[in-house]
Amino acid sequence: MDLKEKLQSIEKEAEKLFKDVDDLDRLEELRIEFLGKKGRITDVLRQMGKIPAEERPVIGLIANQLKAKLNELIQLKMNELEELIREKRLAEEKIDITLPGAGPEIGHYHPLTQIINEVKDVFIGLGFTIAEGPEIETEYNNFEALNVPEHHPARDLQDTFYIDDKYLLRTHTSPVQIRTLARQKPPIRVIAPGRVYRSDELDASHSPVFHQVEGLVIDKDISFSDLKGTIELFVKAIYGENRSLRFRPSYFPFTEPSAEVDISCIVCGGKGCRLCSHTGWLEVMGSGMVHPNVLEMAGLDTRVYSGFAFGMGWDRVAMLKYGIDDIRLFFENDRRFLHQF
Amino acid sequence: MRVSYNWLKTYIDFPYSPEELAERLTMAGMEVDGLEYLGEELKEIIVGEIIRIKEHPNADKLVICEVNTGEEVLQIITGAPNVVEGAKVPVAPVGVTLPNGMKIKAAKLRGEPSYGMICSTDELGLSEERAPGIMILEEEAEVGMRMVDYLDLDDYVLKLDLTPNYARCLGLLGLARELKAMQGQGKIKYPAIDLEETGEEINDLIAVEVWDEDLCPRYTGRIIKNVKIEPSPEWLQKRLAAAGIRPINNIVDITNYVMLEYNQPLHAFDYDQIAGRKIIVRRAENNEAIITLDDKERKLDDEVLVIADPDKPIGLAGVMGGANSEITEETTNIFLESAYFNPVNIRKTAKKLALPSEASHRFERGIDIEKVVEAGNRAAYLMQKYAGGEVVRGTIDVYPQPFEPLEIELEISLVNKILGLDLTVTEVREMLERLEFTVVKQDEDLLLVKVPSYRNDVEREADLIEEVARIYGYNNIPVTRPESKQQGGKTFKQKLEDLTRDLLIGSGLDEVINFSLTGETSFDRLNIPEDSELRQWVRIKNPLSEAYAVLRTSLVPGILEVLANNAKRQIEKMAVFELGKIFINQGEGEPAREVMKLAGGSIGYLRDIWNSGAPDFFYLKGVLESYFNRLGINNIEFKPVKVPYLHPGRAAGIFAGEKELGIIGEVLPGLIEKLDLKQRTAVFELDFELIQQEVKLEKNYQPLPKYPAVERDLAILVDKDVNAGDLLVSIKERGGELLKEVNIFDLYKGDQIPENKKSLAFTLLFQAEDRTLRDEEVNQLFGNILRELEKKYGAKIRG
Ligand SMILES: [Zn+2]
Repeated sequence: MDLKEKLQSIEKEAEKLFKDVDDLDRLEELRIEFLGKKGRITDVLRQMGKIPAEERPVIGLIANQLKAKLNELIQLKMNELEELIREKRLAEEKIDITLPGAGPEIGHYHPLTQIINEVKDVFIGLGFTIAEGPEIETEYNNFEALNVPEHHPARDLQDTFYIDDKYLLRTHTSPVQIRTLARQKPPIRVIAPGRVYRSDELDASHSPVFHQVEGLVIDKDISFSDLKGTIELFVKAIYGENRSLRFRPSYFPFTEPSAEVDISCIVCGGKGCRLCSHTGWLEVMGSGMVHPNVLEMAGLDTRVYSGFAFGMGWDRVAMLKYGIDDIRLFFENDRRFLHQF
Repeated sequence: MRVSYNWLKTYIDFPYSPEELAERLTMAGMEVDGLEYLGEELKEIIVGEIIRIKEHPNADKLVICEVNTGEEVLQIITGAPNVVEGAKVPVAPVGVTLPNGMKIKAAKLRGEPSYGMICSTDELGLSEERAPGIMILEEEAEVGMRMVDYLDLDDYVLKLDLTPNYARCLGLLGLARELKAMQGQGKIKYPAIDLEETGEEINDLIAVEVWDEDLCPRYTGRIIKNVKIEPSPEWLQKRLAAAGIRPINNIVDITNYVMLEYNQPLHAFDYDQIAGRKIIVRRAENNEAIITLDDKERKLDDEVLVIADPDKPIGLAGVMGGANSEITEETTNIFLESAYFNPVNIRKTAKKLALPSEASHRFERGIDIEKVVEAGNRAAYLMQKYAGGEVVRGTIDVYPQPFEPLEIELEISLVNKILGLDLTVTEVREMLERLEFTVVKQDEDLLLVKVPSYRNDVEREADLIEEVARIYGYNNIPVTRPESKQQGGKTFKQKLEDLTRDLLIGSGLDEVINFSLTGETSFDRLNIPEDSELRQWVRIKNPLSEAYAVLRTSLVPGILEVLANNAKRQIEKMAVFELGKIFINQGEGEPAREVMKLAGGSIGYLRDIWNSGAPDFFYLKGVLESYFNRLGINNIEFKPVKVPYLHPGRAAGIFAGEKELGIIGEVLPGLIEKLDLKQRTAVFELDFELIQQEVKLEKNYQPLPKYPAVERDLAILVDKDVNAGDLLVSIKERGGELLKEVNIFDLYKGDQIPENKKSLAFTLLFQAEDRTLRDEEVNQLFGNILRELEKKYGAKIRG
């Protein structure tokens, strides 16, 4: 066999062998066998001395081409094998991605906090700030300054817890109106969320401790129509765009005219159901134009300034929004309840 | 107030159904919070006639009746002893449910079929005691007629929840007047008063002296002689019953009836029991007493107004009559009082004696002083008509200062400004006149309005503006929004509250809200000593119960109760916090201190990083450390502290520098069971206002380090009682500026460690801002630290 034939047979053999290789060690073995210093191609080239000088360049060329071809084959095979290995490792590292995550446990906001945060957001967007006042109030701020004299029947509307002759537990957040008027000049635009107390036995719909949020707007030229617009915006933000509203004459000693705000029932939409006592309407808040007596007691000129106020029980807002039928749930803090919010 | 729909209709015509009327009144400010059909329970009961009675073949005490109900003849078996042929009786056919809940079914009684029931009065809910037999109806009852019609129960009652400014509507005539204004038309049909005065002059029979005009601005009276006390007519009794007032006898019923018509409480005295033929209206003497109509003795004082004769009080003015002058079956002559009493005084008396009545309710709210005589006349007329009385000539009327109507100036521009409307002076005038206000004077922009005597709720222009709004319709007023002149937002404290909730909730704690009213026992259970500030409660003068008698001085009892209540429901792992106020009494007459506190608790936390057996403690501690870190409070230290309800070896005071912010610790093991906690529990409580003072939220950028850091581990053996925190302090001191960070990464006790020793491992990170640290520098610092620990704590390096 001449050298050329030898090289050709090496080529054929190598092609076959390389094709079957399935691991990197074997590939290296073959590389050494064919291309190594003592490999079979070198071996052939060593025999070059035995052939005529004019044939040598031809054989040399063929040999070099073969080397290049084999190198290329090796490289391809190597890539192929490495890819296989990578795939195998990835396959081995497969996890059950349906197992639960190990994230930190996160607590839950009390539903009353969530509601009041929503309320605050709406009013802050309308330019309101948040005012606060003590829960132990003076009788004066809680009643007299709000146009409820000592022996007025309006006192019957709120059963009061008394501390002593001067102090009581505020029965509403309205005294914050008085405190705001005492320290701030118009324009005034505040809401006052807070805890209030009434001497009511605890049952599904009454609690001696509950929460209200009060609003107060005082400026030049504030009108009842402004009250309607502000409340409408708030009610729709909290209870949904589709709610209809109605304003109904009512009585609060510290507003005149006074209005109760009803929304179309969130359960039946107005057709009548148990929640709305078959009226189609739900009472959601009280409101009115600040009584001139209140403004005058605060030293404001009622010919220049007017304003409106509104207030609502925010426990009730939460009950309506979440469909909760028992106010006691808010204060029992049952984990199964808290974790629904 | 309960208002009969049919009765109201006798005073004014209106086209509304009961439902529409309820809706209209509600929208006009008189909230109707219930509508009751009086015949509701008897809707299906019909009048039948017993046409034949047969003996029951198998029972002596039962009979078989054939009852004609107009549409059919039913066989009904009854055991009633008073059945007779031809009797008209109430029949409940098969399928009907009786007021007592009994459902009538076809039945066999001793083998004979029965298709319905003949009812007794108690079965129909018409009497309370058990009737001896069936109800026999009047001869005129028509067979097949509904019992509802027979009993005149085809009526609705509107339950009005009237606010104090609608006191005038506590009488049906007042309500009729409102309806008239609402409709803008109609005529009020005033009740008949056809008095036939006879006999003597009233002044010859009685004298009235009013000693306290301020408490009794008007006192009037009439005398009606020779009345016959008997039950009042059926229709009158029914109207009273519909209004929720129990019928008593014709005289008392008439006074109540007229009160419901005119909103004028009246009182009838037995004239012959009035000594000296003289009535004195005066303040009671201190320690004077009277037995009231309810047979209770009432001790009086000089704030109470009484109606008296020269010898004794015979009634509490405006509140309740006296037993000594009560109308009895023997009464023949009546002194009928119709008066106006001072609202505040009546209210005080009714409160003081805990005697609220229909009368006091009305006097407190103010009645129509100008209608006092008319109401008295109406009652006298009814007594003449329904009690056979003879009305004596003349009326006593002590009215020293006649009513002066209030006149209010109303600027139309103000009306429009307040309501956001554009009304003309004529429009406003018409609206007010619909409500029977009189316009005395009219200018371009001004009305001078005279207020009727029954409108004592109207005091100034704002009240008139409300009337205009009401007539115009609240829902017809446009919708606008005021221009906003300021930026909304939260204060620093409010933002900090939000941030606090965010961080604690993000750390795994659930937010809870507890009552601030609590009971002393919650604190007794926590071993709070007598002299503790936590026992300086603010006390409620009129508590609902002992459980809600004081305001909380700590949030911890509430936190523990929440955990205990949840533990009872098989919750084994829970962490909660509350951000709320506590109240510390500052002594009589001083306002209490209200302090915002932040408290929390944890049970069942699993990861015990230090193998200390106190995972909840370290969990809460870690939460607080992260919290303080986020608030920029970096000088926090935990120091051992004694708290009565905390484990002495597992409690810490939390300090920011010298300031004690609060405490953290594990509940004393002895208390766990007492508090129903079931397992070890950790709690903390912090003063939120102190935290607020320490917060540093402003940030200042520090350039990032340019040179590499060198990390070294240090493992030492120390006595068990040495606090890791003290070691950290020493390490930091010795490490100086170049020691950037030191952390404990391991705590070990047990095998391979001598008894009473523990092994602690620290990671120390050294770094300079201006150069790469050389090994020698670090070695030297490290050596210094080690020597310090050896010297101070006997620490040995662990190889
Ligand atoms: Zn509904």
